[in-house]
Amino acid sequence: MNWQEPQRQSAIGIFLFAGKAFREMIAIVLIMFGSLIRKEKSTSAYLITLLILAVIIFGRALLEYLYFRFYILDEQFVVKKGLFAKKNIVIPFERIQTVQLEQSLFHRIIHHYKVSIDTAGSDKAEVTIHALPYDKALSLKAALTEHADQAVENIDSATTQNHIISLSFKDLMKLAISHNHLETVGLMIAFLLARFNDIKDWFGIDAYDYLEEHGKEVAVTTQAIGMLIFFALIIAILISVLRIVLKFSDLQITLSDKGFNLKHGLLNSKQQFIGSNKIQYVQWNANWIRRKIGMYIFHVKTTGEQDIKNKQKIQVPVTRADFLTTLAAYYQSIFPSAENNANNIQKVYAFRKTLLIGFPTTIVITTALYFAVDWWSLLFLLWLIYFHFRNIIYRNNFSFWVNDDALEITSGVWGRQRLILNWHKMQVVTISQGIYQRSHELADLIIHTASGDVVLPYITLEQAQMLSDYAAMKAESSQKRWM
Amino acid sequence: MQFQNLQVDWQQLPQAASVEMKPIEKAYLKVLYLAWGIFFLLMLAALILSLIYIDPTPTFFWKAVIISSFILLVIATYIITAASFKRKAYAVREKDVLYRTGWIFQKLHIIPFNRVQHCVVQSGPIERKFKLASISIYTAASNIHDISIKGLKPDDAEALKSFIMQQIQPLN
Repeated sequence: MNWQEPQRQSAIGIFLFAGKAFREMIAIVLIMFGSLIRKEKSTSAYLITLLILAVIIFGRALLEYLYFRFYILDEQFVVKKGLFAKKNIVIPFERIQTVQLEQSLFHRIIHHYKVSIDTAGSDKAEVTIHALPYDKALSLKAALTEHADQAVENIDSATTQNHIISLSFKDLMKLAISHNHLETVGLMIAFLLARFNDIKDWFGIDAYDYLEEHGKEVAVTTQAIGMLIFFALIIAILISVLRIVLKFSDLQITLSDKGFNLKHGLLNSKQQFIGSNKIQYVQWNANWIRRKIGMYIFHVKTTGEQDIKNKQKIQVPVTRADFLTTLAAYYQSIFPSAENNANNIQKVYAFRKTLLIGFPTTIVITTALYFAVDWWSLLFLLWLIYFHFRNIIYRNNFSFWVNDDALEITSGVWGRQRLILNWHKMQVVTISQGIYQRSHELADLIIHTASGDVVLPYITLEQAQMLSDYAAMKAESSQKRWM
Repeated sequence: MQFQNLQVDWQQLPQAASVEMKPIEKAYLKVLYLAWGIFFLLMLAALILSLIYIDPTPTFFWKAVIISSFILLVIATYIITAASFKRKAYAVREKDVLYRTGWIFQKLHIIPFNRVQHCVVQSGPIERKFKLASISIYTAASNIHDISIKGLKPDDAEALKSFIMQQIQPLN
């Protein structure tokens, strides 16, 4: 494949662009048809509206297709796009963080991939090529990731390790059932509320008025509310099962010297490549149920993660403890906890947290509730007790270990989380002290990385100074690259 | 408490806590007062206008509450500005910059030169009047956008900038 020549994506991509344009315009489309229905217009009015919409959507898609070209020039990936607002995106190879191949059902039928190229750093750019045939997509990915690590000259199959983690149907079910269903219910409610408001925009019916008029006809009983909660939970579980089966079926992980290669998804399959030195730290966690059944989600934290959309975060469900070790060992071979004794944070952490966060929150909320439900608002004090209890558990479960290369932290109240950070991945290190901490020679240590902060709260000032000096020394003297 | 098995003895590491820090320029306090003064004057004007034109006119009680909380806010800002100004200091070492800031929550940042992406020397209109400049140091840390050391002499800021630029190692 000659990538020096400017290329277009597949012509079939026009349909994908059209789909995208349609999705962006859906609100306008619905409003137009809503007003047509209300004004009881004739059939020809509908036809003309449809025609105009089709012309706009396909015209836009065609232009987008024609004015999108990409090629490789001197170790740089170049994209030219736009008709009126011309845009030239140049990405040097060493800036490329991940190259992802994705497929929707439509892509599958036509044997195409969607290729997204993510970069990191302050000059953030992101390129998506919506449709490329299989061979072209693979060849482009190879061309772009070939230079992922200059240190590795050539990679043959001997240096490539394959670890195929496959999840059985039973594993998938366990994963789905143990999902945090309250979160799903929350998302469902948010989704419904958003649609509720849309009804008015689209059809001119005020859903709130409607509810107020007809709401009295429905008897509100404990039984009815119970049923409602029951059904919401059932639906939440079904959604979780569906989402997880779709997302994690056919999961494959390949480890090589260059990085992780991840492939998963049933309908929308996705391939991700993460260069090994783009990894900032690794972390795995389990909620209370998952902890009990020995199931963890392994996260690979890469640069600029905060900005990346949720769906592009790198998460791997792991059902066996030895896989965790294998995956983590790829980042840090010797765990600090294997060599050294655990350190704790100070006992006073729990009380200070309750005092500084719990009490003000309680005062504000109890006062606000007082106006609504009188003295019942004092029930909120129960939350304060729980909050303090939870802080004590958190402080008791918080341990950290250090060795020459890394910091390891475990924490969690009901669930558990473990994190491993290499010292040289730090960007800035900060020692922070409040008034109380100053008079008791305590401090928070905040290690800022390119993928968020790692915090050791309420350790002694001496520990904080020691660790910050050490981290700075490692960052300044290490020959290893942070990305 | 000691940590075992670290590669080096902490006593032999360069210790940030024992570095002598250089305070920022005295004149910067005036810049701060002036900037806050302008801000509060505008706020006061808005407050008075709204007290006059709001319908119905608030009772004397509410007027007193609003005015006194405004005065409290001004006093609190004055105290915090003055106290935190005294804390602001920096030091340049061979391989990093140290910056100390904050009064209630006191912070000490260590920024290694080889983690700096770029840095910018700026000077706002009030700062220019007092012949001051500030330097913003950008790293790839995702939760802090930049670390700005304000209230430097323009020459010092430029010198610091060119020193950092020299120290930045190329990515590869």
